[in-house]
Amino acid sequence: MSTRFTVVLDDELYRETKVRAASDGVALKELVEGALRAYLAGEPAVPRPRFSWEKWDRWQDEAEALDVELGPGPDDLSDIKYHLYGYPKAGAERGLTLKLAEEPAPYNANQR
Amino acid sequence: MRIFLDASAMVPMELPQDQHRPRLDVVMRRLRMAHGDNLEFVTTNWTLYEALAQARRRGWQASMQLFQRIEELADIVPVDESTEVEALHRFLRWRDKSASVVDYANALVAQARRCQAVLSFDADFVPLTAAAGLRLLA
Repeated sequence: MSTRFTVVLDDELYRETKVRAASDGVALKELVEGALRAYLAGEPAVPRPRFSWEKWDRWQDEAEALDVELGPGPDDLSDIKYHLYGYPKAGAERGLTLKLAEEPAPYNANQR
Repeated sequence: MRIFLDASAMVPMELPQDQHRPRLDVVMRRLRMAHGDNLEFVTTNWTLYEALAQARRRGWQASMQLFQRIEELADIVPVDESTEVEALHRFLRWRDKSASVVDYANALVAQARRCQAVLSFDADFVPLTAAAGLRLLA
């Protein structure tokens, strides 16, 4: 069952939406319904990027290739607090280790 | 499964020589087995900027590649004004915590976006993760 409803939109917004929808091959009805469903579900109106392992694998291959090209490099750039905030290095020096943090709640891949 | 992605996990995604790369590989392998393509990654613009700054130390190409892939694979949430105010408030209120304003903002966004877990190798972020009721993948 469908319900007809009328809304008054800003001219420019309507024009841009219509042009974009046409180029994306999406009907305006679908677009509005999608936005309303997303709103009701508390989701952003813009579709989220979809994760895929295919894209992930491609990225990892590219990253490996670039790494080979760049040669040896630092291994601690993920220590954001040390590099960007001037904290001491993570680990034993600061008395903070991920191992300790993990103990109470280890990750279980089988548990959703 | 919706996972919040922290900068400490984003960097080893781009840099294979990183110290946390072996851990990241294990986590990603488990996620692939358990969830297949049914995964969503969420992060914030602030977190992405932290990771980009770090990747830039390795070279322009690394930061560009990281930016393009994260944009493709993750939902990058811009930190809005109310989140920023609350994150700053929490940062200033908790004297004994070593988390940053960005960490507090991340925890707020992770909750608001109903993430079930956080992928992070930053021990300062761990207490916030637990307080927010999020599972830590590390």
